[in-house]
Amino acid sequence: MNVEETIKQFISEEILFGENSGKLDPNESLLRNGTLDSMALLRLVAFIEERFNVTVDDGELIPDNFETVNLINDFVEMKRQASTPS
Amino acid sequence: MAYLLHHLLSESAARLPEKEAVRFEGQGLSYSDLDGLTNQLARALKIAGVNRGDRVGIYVHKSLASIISVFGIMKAGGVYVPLDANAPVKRLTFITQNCGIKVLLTSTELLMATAKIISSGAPIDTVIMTDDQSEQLANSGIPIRLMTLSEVLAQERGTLPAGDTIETDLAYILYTSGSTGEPKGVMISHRTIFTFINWCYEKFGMTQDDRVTSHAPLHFDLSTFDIYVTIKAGGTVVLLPEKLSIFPVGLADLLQNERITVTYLVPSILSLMVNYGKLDAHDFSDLRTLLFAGEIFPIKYLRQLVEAIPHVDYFNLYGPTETNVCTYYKVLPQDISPNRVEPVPIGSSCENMEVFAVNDEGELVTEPDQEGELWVRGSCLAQGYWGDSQKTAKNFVPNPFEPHFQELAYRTGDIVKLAEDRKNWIYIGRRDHMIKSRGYRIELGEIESVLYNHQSVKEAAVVAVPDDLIGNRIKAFVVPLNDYQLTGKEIELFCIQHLPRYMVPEVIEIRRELAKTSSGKINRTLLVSNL
Repeated sequence: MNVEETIKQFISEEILFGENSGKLDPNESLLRNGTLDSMALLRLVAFIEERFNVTVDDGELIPDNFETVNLINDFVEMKRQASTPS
Repeated sequence: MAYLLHHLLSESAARLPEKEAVRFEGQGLSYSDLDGLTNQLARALKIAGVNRGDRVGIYVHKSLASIISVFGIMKAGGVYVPLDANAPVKRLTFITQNCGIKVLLTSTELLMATAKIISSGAPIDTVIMTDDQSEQLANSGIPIRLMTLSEVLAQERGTLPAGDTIETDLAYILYTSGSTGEPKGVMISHRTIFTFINWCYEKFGMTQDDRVTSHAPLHFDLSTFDIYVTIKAGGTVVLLPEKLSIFPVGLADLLQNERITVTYLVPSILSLMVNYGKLDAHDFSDLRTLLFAGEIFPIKYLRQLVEAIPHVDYFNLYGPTETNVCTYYKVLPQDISPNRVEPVPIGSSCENMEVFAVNDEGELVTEPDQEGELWVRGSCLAQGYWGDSQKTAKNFVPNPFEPHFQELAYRTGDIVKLAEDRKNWIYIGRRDHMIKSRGYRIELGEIESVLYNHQSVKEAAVVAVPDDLIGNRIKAFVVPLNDYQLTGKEIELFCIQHLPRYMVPEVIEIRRELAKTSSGKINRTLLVSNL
């Protein structure tokens, strides 16, 4: 499963509790309706750090990186590339 | 003389018309603009049929429209009822039916949800749009009158003739968690909220130079400080975008960049900021006063906060929605010494309010270390719960310690003890099942009621698991009927459909049975001790 799928699955199951499984729009705001609250965000970050072996800096906890599945995906890809030894 | 909340706006607008009254995402409204817009909205509401005492719903995400709405509704003589934009349709439908909301203010974003609320049985007959909308939306399929923003803006901007509202009329109703499974509407009159506002204005020395955050949603009573105390002083209200509340660095950035002088936040947010907000990398030199309330603030995080921003005055404020803030405590350096483990006290009565504690024998607590239930008296008391005179009579009782005249006192249900100094009260815990999680007041019984509504649930128990960051996490135990195969996910989904997100249990365990006490009740102590 690729990065985007992994993230989508985590959000669908662990944050949306399977409510929208399969229908999660990668461009839909997760922040607008309080879908992502403070605990969910921290759980998501812990998941990302563990699953993709990256470290998320406090300064990276910003809406730009977490507003939608696509943005989270972009952020994770950026982190992975940054941590891959060249 | 100001005696209604909107008088505060008119007075400040007359004094400081060009001053910025409110800001949101870089956009601002001057006092005279805010005054004018609220007058226009008030006229539109009257055209929509709003009369004195009518309940008007506000269903928008935090924005300039939120502030315009509260004042506009009160200027029209109405009673505003904030509806949580993140709450499920069922809960909002219940609220609109409970207090009879016929007119609703909303935005395009929430129009579909509004349609669902109406088709679920809400008694709404007019919807007024607060954002820039074309008439296309009139075809939203809602079979009621839709008033567009243009119609509102076409109204006259001048001051309305004085209405017939008096200070003991209601200003707003705030719906909070209820133990019978349904939210209760706490009724607040203008006079009640003025008692709080006047206290804040004096205690914190508010001036027109103050720039105050508005973080709390309108349906939380913390919002009354943010908006009304600031407007009374002629200061600027800086609205925090909802999406920022979970991003600590963003919040810290805003406090710094907007040169915030006074802020009122719940401990969960402050803990997040302490842990993830890079406070040391920010300049908070404009901040002078920080207030916190709503839940217990773990001393270790308060310590770190004070160490990060030492020049600020910190106050712990306490009070249920039924009285707003009624005690306060100013944090002193010795309170955050490294060996201290207990939270700071909830403090002593605010000026012009009185609290006292009553022990199990019905006597007043007078000695240090004695415990009792905290009661409150004064004009800070709410007028009761909308449509529930029974519950009102249970909690707002004749004051047995005042023999000469009739007055009510509010029983908070919080257990406190008198501190050694004989002046301050220390919070011990709740008498019943009410807990705090992320600053929200949650009645565990309400969650249990919802669980019992699931057709395959035989038994359910919900307990609180203390948590440093958010106060409490919620854990549910469910026993399915007979051989029905119930899954935790199924229950979670069910909860989401019936409860606001913050009340959905974080963990759900399916059990074959739940141990009972000798009186046949579910043994919660056992459930909690096994965690």
